[in-house]
Amino acid sequence: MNNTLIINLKRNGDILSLAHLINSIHSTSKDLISILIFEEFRAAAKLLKNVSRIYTIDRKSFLSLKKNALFHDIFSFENLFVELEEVRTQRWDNVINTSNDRISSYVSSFLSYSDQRLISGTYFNKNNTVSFSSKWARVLNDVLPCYKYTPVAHVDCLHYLTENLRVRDGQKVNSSPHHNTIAFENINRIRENESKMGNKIKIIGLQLKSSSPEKDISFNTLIQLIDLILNNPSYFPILLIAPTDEEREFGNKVNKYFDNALVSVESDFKALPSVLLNIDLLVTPDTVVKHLADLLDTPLVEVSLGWAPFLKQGTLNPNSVILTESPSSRVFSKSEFEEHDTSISGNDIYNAIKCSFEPRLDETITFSTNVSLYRAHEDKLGVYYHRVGGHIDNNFNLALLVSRYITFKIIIPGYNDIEFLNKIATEFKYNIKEWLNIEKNILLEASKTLLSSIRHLTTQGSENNFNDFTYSLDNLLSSCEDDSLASIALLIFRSYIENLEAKNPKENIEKVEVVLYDLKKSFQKISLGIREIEETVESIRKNDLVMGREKTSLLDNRL
Amino acid sequence: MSTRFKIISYEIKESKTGEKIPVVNGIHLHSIYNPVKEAENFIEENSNLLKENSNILVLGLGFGYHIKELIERLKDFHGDSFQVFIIEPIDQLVNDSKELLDSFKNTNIITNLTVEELYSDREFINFLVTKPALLAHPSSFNLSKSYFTGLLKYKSDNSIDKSRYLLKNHLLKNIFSTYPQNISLDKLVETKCRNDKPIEGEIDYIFQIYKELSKQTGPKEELR
Repeated sequence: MNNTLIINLKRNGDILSLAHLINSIHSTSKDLISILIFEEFRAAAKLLKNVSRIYTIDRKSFLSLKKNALFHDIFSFENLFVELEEVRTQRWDNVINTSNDRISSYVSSFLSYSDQRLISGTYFNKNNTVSFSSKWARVLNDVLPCYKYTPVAHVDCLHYLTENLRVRDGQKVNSSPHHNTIAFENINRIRENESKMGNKIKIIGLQLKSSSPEKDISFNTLIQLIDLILNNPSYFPILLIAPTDEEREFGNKVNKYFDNALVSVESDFKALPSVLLNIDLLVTPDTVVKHLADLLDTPLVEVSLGWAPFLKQGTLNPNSVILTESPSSRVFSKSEFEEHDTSISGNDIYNAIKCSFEPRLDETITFSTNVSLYRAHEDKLGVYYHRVGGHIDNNFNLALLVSRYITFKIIIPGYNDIEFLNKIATEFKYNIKEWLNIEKNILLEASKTLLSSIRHLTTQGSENNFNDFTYSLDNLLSSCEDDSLASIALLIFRSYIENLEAKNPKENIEKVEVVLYDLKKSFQKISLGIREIEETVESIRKNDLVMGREKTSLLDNRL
Repeated sequence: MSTRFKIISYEIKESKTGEKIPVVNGIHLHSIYNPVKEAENFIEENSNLLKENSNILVLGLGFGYHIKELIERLKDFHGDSFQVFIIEPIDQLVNDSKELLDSFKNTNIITNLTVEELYSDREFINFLVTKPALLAHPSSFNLSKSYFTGLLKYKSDNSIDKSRYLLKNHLLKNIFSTYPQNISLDKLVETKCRNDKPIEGEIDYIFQIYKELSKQTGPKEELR
């Protein structure tokens, strides 16, 4: 039996999302799995099933000791040493770094000092340079945080990184039998009371608060939503509240508006799974509760607000829906995000609830202008997101699917997925050409710059050539964050360039040359992928013509 | 360097209501009329503080009338989930209150330690890290003003030679004995974490983690 350590030094939501990977590893290998997290997230981590031990770094205590002049710094050092030494003295067969940060990378290296091949993810090698265990580690650390269209779902990327197949079945969360009984009895009482009045109800849990205000559903929107739910005898709202003064106060404010007639349920992490197991649907902004509901297969309406990339760790449940403003109008960067009144109304959320219960309504229900509805779909390579209702953001939706195809094309040797190509081509056959032409032009320009870089590098000797080379390289890297198809390859390229290590200038030039040629190969794969898409579109259009469908479709498109 | 408290005179008087009152260097540490009532008022004045904090650091014991009231109030607010640390530099007061102190729950008392010794005490440090609320007993504070002021304004000496002896972990103690002794820990970390310096042993990774963790501003409380 192998001992596997999963490191995640992020927050509650990220830690809970590990349950998918833990379930897959446990189901297939029966490895003993431990996790290393920050102490302040222990309560959430305790919900993870099949975790044999939780190790922690007490960050709060560390910072108190370090930042306060009263205390000797050496205490913070010793506490940290003792915590990590306890983990290091165990025998680890695999160390999986699932958070892309410097601390977790150093911790991974420390724990695998004698054999850094045990690490999946990023680490610092003995030259103190960032190393990546595979190209998937580069996707996880350099593409997903930067690329707007999330070409691979975070959970799938973790599975590719660790070479595990995702196992869907299996219990992923610990729930307390005691709380299960209480939640069942209390919520069932509501169902029975409503049943006596002739109502067969769906219980809808409303998560009132998230961890940051810009992600919260506003008070007025909540009031409008609850009003609509109350007017539908088939729906019954309950307010979900965490045991904090702030949430209680907000819950009371909402409840007061309805003359304190609403049912509110206060639950800590231990009791929360029991509540979620007993409701029919959850309405929530991007919260840890969303991740927990997903793990329990409780359908949800995710109201995506704020700057967090809504597809990176969106709901994975195909029975759930994600409500968002037009994605291309959204800013997915904390520093660039500006608060504004969202177009998502209480009525939109109410309509999304209806869609969640009846997916056939997806395309027929009307949402506010600029508001779209997305669902998670799944194929053999994992999860991807697809617009199913509301505002059509053609280029965004196209980029979602094509960037996924291209990413797999770059990473997986010989990848070709006829089924997925057909999906793209069928859906976008009449409005893909112009978009692809733009992408082809970007790729062409980037290829020219790349060839120029290679030329200047291979004819080194004069200062002019060196300057020309660095100029071309800067040009190339400046396109990393333009969210084009070429930028997927460029982001991976950048992770190589930024972490090159060489003993002397000659070796440095040789290594740069290798990664430039690797980038050239990736560009060729992107070009091939685009060609495959074009050919599939062409073939489908020809087929439509033969079947006499084109005229009608064109007419539909115009309408 | 702070020194231990010097007692010039120490006597025990009786209050009008019959309780014992310590008088140290001529200062009455409790009301000569009604020390219990005085303690009740003192705790009542600090009621909100006690409601919001279950860990309390008390500066000054006297004969513990305020401590008795404090513990009653903490029990009301927090059940058994509270912790009290009392600092009293005059050990004679502690000895004379021993019977009363033994009856208190969840209470630690520290006496007869210099400020430096206090900030070397791991149990006390661990308690301070929980960010307890501070409750200064006015007459005790005035009596030992320089001691308590020194306690509140203390600045730790972070040089390796001064702080190495505080380590409990033998492995770490040995490792630190091999480093330059006349520099601060921060300086040592800076040297160990120079960009161009390769990793020479496992401990170098700990220095890197220490450096990165020190840059953080701390977690935001997150429940959802």
